[in-house]
Amino acid sequence: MSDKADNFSATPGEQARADQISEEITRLMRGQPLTGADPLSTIAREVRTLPADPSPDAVREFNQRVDRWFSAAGRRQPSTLRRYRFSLIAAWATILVALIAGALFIRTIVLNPPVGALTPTTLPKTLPSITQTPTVTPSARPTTTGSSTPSQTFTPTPTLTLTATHRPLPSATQLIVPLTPRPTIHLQPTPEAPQPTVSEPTEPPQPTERQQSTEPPQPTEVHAPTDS
Amino acid sequence: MSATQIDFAQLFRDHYHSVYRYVRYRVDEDSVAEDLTSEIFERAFRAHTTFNPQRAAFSTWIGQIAHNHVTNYLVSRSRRQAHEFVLSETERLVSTEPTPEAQLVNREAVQRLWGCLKLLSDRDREIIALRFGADIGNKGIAEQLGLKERSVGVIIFRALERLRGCQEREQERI
Repeated sequence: MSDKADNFSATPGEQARADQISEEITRLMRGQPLTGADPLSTIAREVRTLPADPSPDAVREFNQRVDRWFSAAGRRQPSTLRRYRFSLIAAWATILVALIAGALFIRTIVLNPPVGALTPTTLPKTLPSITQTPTVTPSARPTTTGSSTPSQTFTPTPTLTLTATHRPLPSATQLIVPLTPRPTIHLQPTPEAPQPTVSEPTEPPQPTERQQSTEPPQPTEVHAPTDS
Repeated sequence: MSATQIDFAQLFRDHYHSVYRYVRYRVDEDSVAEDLTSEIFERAFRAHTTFNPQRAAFSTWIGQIAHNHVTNYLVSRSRRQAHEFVLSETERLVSTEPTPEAQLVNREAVQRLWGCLKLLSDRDREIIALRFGADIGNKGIAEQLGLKERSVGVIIFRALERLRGCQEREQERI
């Protein structure tokens, strides 16, 4: 719309008259009386007074629309917090995810350090071993019977109690075994070596005399002491 | 002052008449002017949150919207080359309630003057509409159209001369 090429030229007389008419128009638009007798001032007044106003119906309809627009807009005007609600939720979600990821990463690093970061001196010499010892811990569970006096019945609830005992653990230096070729050991049976044989008993073991005797043991003679 | 603190409803009401007059000076029918004015304010309502009072006055802002909308209408109308039935000025004056100022003007003179306005170029007619319809000063028109202020005065002066010549020819023809 802008006519940037303002190569407008006017003669000095035309420019002076144009400026004079411009001042007349300014007075005309302000509702002031015209001072000059230029015929163009009369034309300007006629142009100014052309019937170019909206009809009362159009004005009334416009006012109703404006009321409807801005009353609805006022109701729908979101607060600053609501306007940026989704942005805030997204930001908080991002921060939360980042914190969780960071915590998991740190936890992974602390609990499972990389192999290269193992320091044998920091490894414990002993590792607790867990043995399961079932113990029964009675728990009191009151049950209500038909009588008015509650009775307590003990229901044994088996629980597992973990007892840690220390068991020697080889040090980390022992765990890390260099991948060096090992000498191969060929196991050859030597003739001198006793061959493990499994021999089945041909005869059942001989029972002892006590076991073999079916008769009850004879009572030993009790020699009564003689007076002689 | 931000856009949320402005009473746009009041601004719309304050500028309705000037916008309508600007549109009416650029088009030939009241009904078209009313429709276009409604559309202009509808566009302004949709974009009112983007209005920045530090950058431009509301009259400039709404004037820009009106200028673009009317120009688009005139361009599309000329492209369609549709035949428009233009109410005679007599019918138009009967159908509208004349303002007190309009009652002072002879009806025949009004008809001639509207007819002569149609003969102006688009640029001259727009500047006449901005000056007499929207009541924008030469400086504001110059800023809006990218012209020098004194050039606007000369354009208005020459347009008025053409209108006077047109009126004289019409009187001689009658």
